[in-house]
Amino acid sequence: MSTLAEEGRYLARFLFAAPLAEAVIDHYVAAHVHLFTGAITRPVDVAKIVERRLDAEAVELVLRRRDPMNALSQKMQILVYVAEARRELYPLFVSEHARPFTAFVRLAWGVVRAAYKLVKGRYLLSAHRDL
Amino acid sequence: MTYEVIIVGAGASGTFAAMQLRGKKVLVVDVGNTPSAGAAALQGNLYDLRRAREEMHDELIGEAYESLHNISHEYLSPKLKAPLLRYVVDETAALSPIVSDGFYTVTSHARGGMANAWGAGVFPFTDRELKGFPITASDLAPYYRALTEHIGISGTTDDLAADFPDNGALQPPLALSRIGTDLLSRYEQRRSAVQRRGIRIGRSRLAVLTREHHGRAACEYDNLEFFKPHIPAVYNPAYTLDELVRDGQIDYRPRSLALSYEEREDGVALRVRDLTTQTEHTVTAKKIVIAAGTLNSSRLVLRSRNDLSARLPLLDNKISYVPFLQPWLIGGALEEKSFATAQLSVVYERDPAPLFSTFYGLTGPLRSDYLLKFPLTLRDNIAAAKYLSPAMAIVQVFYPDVPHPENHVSLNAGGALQIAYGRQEAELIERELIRAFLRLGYFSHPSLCQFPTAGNSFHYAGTLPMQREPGPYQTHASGRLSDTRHVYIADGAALTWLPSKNLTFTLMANAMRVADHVRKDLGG
Ligand SMILES: Cc1cc2nc3c(=O)[nH]c(=O)nc-3n(C[C@H](O)[C@H](O)[C@H](O)COP(=O)(O)OP(=O)(O)OC[C@H]3O[C@@H](n4cnc5c(N)ncnc54)[C@H](O)[C@@H]3O)c2cc1C
Repeated sequence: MSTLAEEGRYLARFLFAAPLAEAVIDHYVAAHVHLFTGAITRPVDVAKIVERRLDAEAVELVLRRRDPMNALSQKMQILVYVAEARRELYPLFVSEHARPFTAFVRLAWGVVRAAYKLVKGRYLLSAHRDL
Repeated sequence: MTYEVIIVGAGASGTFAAMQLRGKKVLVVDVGNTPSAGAAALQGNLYDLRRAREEMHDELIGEAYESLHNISHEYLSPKLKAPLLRYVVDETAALSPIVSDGFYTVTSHARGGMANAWGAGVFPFTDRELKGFPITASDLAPYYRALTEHIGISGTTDDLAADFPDNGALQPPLALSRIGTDLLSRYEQRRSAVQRRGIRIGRSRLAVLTREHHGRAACEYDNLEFFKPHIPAVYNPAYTLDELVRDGQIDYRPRSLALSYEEREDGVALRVRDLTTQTEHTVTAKKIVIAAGTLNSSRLVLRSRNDLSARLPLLDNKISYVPFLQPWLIGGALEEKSFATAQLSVVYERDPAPLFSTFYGLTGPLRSDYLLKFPLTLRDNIAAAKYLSPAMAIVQVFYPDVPHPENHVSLNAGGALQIAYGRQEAELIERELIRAFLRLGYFSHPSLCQFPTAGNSFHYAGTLPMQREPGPYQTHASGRLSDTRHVYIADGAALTWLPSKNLTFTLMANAMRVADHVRKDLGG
C-alpha cells in the first residue's frame, strides 16, 4: 500500500519533467484533508495505479472524458494547482516572451500525444478492470 | 436609544441608503465580516510576486486549500474561492441557511456585501429596462449622477451610448488588455457587418479608477483582481461606509444579525443577535430600511410575519460562458500589466431590452482554474494553457428574467430559506454570438459553451417587487412594503423584473431614492 506522499510523487512524474520540491508533496498530502471531505467524487483505486506502475496520465485522460470529477483527475489537479503557486514551476505556466512558433509545435505535439495516450489509457482500463 | 432609521445590511444597497440618510439618527445593523490582516500584505504586481517569492501558497491557494474548491465541490466563481476573498461568503451557511434543489446561491455577510468580490460593472437602467416598473429612468437619473461623482466611474462614449446614458463626467477608460484592443479594433473595422447581426461592442462602464479620486489611487494594472480584496481603484461600498462611520454620520453595529422586526404604532422594533456575545436584544426606530441582499431581506420579512406558507417570486439572470480563441494571439507574451476582469461590453439588440454580455481576457485567474477543460492530457494541458491563454477570451452572457410560478422562495420551519427554481427560459444567443465573432476572427463552437447552474449570476431579485398598486409582499414605488407603515425595501428584492444588464448600480441608485422617501416620510 503506497502512502499519500509516494502517490503524490508518482503522479507528479506524469505532469512535470523534473522531480517536485518536497513542499509540493507536503501540500499534496495536506490538501486531501480539506478537499475530500464532503466532496463530489467518483472513486478510482489510485493506490492500484501506483502499485502497478500504470501510466497515470493515460488513465486520467480516459477517466476525465467519462467524468471530470473522478478521484484520479482530482488528485492530479491538486498537484497542478499547488505547482502553479511555486516559483520554480512558474515558467511551465507562463510564457514571458512571444513564442508563436514554439506554441504551435507544442500544441500539435500535444494533440498527437493525447491521441496516443487515449488509446493507451483505454487499453489499460480494459486490462485493469478493478480500478 | 431610539433611532430615526435602522438600516439592515451594509452592502451596495444599505450603504447608499445610509449615505442618503446621513444627518438623521441612523443605525446600520450588519454582520460585517472583513478581510484577514494578511490581505493588506499582498502588494505589487502578481507576476513580479510570483517570480520573486518561493511560493505564493497562502495568497493563491490558501492555508485550507480554498482555491482548490472546484476540484471536488460545486462550482464557485474564481474570485469567491480565492483564499483572501473567502471572507465575502464566510458564515453565510451557518447564519443564513438556504436549502435549494438545483439553484446555486451565494450570499454575503461582509462589510460592503458581495461587492467585495464584484466585477465593478456599473450600468444604468434605461426606460426600456424599467418598463413595467412604477418608476422611470428620470426618477433614477439624479442618483446615477450623484453615484458617478461619488464612486468615480471610468468609461467613454461609444457605440453603447444609448445603453449607458450620460450620468456625468466619466474618468478615461482603462487601458485595454491586448485581446481587448484586438477585438475592439477588429470590431471598428467591421462594425456595420457585426451591427447587422444586432451586435454592438464598446467599453464597459466600470467603478474602477483611472485617475486618483477622493483619496483613492488609480488602477495599477497589477493583475491582482482575482486575489486581493480592497484594491483602492476598485470601488467597494465599505469605503463609503467607513467614511460615514469615521465622520460620525451614522452608527454602525457590526457582528449583529437581524432576526425579525415587529411593527408598532410609532415605529419598529428589530430583534438582533449579537454574534460576539451570542445574546439577543431589541433596537427601535421610527423606520426600518431592509437591505440585507435580496435573499436575506426576504427571509427577514417572512420571518417577521412568521409566514411559512407564502411563496415569493424569485428572479435570477441565467448566464452562459462562451469561450473564444483568436489564433493570431496564440503564443503571445504574458501581459504583466493588465486589469484582470471585464473591459468590454457586448450588447445584443432584443425586445423589450437588449441582452448584455461581458468580454474577459484570461490574464487574471489561475491557469489551473481552466486547464482541466482542455481535451489533452494534463501535462499537455499545462502547456496549452501557457500558450493559449493570451489568445483566449470568455464572453459571459446575462439573460433577463421575469416572475414565473415555478420560481419562488419560502421559509421553512427551521428558519431556512427554501428555494425552488424550476424554470429558466431564455432565447439562447450563443450561436449568433459565435457567428458574429467569427467575422472578427474569433473562433468558438456551441459545444464549448458552458451553462452554469441557475443562481450563478449572483443577481437575485424580485421577491418583494415594487408595483404601482402593490398587493401582499409587494412594495410601493417609494420602497415601502405594502401593509406596513414603517418598513422599506431598498435592495434587489424590490426589482419588478430583472433585465439582462448588471443590477448593482441601479440597486445603489434605487436605495438612495428610497432613502429620500424615508426622509420625506420622517418629515424632511
Ligand atoms: C463575483 C461577483 C461579481 C459581481 N460582479 C458584478 C458586477 O460587475 N456588476 C454588478 O452590477 N453586480 C455584480 N455582482 C453582484 C453584486 O455584488 C450584488 O448585486 C450586490 O453586491 C448586491 O448588493 P446588496 O447590498 O443588495 O446585497 P449584498 O451585497 O448581499 O449585501 C448584504 C449586506 O447585508 C448584510 N446582512 C445580510 N443578512 C443580514 C442580517 N440578517 N442581519 C444583518 N446584516 C445582514 C451583509 O453583511 C451585507 O453587508 C457580482 C457579484 C459577485 C459575487
